[in-house]
Amino acid sequence: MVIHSLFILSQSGNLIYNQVFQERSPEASKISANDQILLASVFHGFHTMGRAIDGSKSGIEKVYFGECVLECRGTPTGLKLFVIADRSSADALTKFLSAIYELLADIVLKNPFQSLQQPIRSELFTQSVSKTALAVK
Amino acid sequence: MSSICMLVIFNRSGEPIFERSYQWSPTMRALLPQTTPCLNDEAVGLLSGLVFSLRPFVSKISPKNSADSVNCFTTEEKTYHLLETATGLKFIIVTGPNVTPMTNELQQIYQLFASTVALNPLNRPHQASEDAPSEGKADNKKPNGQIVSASFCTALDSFLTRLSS
Repeated sequence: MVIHSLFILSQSGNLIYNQVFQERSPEASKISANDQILLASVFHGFHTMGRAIDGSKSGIEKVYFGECVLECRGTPTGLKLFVIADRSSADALTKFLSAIYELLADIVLKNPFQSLQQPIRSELFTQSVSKTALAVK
Repeated sequence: MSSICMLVIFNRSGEPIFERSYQWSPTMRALLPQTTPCLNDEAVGLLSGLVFSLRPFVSKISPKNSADSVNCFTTEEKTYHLLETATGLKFIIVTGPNVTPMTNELQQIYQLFASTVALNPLNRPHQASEDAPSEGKADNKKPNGQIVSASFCTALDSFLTRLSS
């Protein structure tokens, strides 16, 4: 499994969905659930700074670090989806993020009980995301 | 790879000590230094802040190793390749989009820097901002420790031209 984790941020930068697909290796820093929320929201700030630096419409799109790559996709409505994966699969991530965005639109946003800024708690969404992540080489 | 825009070097406190913008000239088949900067001063300040904050973020979020550091990050229009040395200097090359991370090239630039600037006995990088600031200087005074070595500039220009051709 090349994908490590997926984060979805709302328009205001709150973490509304987080899924981890693999154990962190022992040399990685230990982070709690709260840390994940914090880190994801910090990335919201980076995304905006990236936009301010060179005036592009989308902010930071990819960050390469160590053996990993972080790829972010912003939606026209201001949501941000970002995924952390192995560097070897960097090309497949754009399609993966598009697939997740489709799932988000189909399963989460069409749910009349889902409010926009609230965390996503949908079993069907989690299962579909896991299936899509497994399919990425 | 004729899309190299700019090289910036930040010192340990995040101040830019070297900036050089480039433009590819097809007639001369060379990368020519430009006086109009690729990124304005405000953008350079933002870049410094971004690079400074990206490091602890990446160290925490990395699932493989907490010693990982940022090699490069991209936006829609530009790619920023980063090398941070053990002394806290940050070398950033700004290129067009869709360029593979230039870590090796940055290492070579660091070698050039080491031989022309760091080993230069007349170089005084720590004319500190920690010392009492001189009164009466304008706010847009460049931070101390500016790299003015002409041999570094020439070596850098020819290296980047070789890369681009």
